[in-house]
Amino acid sequence: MNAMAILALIAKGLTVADVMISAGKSAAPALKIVKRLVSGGIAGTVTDEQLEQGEADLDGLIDRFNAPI
Amino acid sequence: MHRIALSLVLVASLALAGCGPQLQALQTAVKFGTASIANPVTKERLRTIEDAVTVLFVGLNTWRDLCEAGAINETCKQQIRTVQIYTIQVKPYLFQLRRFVRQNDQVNAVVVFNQLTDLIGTIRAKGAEGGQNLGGGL
Repeated sequence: MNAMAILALIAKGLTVADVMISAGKSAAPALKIVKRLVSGGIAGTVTDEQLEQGEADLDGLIDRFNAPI
Repeated sequence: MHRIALSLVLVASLALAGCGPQLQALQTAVKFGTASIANPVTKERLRTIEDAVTVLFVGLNTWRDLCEAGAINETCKQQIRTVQIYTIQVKPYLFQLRRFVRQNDQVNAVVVFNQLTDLIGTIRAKGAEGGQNLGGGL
């Protein structure tokens, strides 16, 4: 993965972190995403195990938002 | 190469212009591209869209938390209910896409990938109507 692509991924993660910090939230989940994005991008290939790691977190986020308000 | 550069300039221009909902849907289309048999949905592409959906729902949950805390406008609950009409559709599409990619069923994976991309664009646009930037410029 080239340097520009990695910088774009970091910028994406920092944007999310900025939104969360502005809202008074912990930036830890956003930083976790940044780490996963960058490490996955550098590795180049994705295994089923790597996919499953992020999918459980994602499913939880979706369920949380979709709960009745 | 020129085409890629032009797309990047277009996306940046739209983001900087504080564009409306309809343009956010366009940004989504530019970002993910369109899947086809010639441009298949690999595991890497699946992860890219899952990462984008993660970013989207982090933003949506932050919006919801602020709304429930009474920190933003009173109409936010109704706006969130409107967005939920679309967000409820995400999980079934995502489950199907995961299954098709792992089975390398590209015919169905391509169809679901494109439907999910459209849905993400719609959710971002609906969020923008509620005054929320849900990563359309990401």
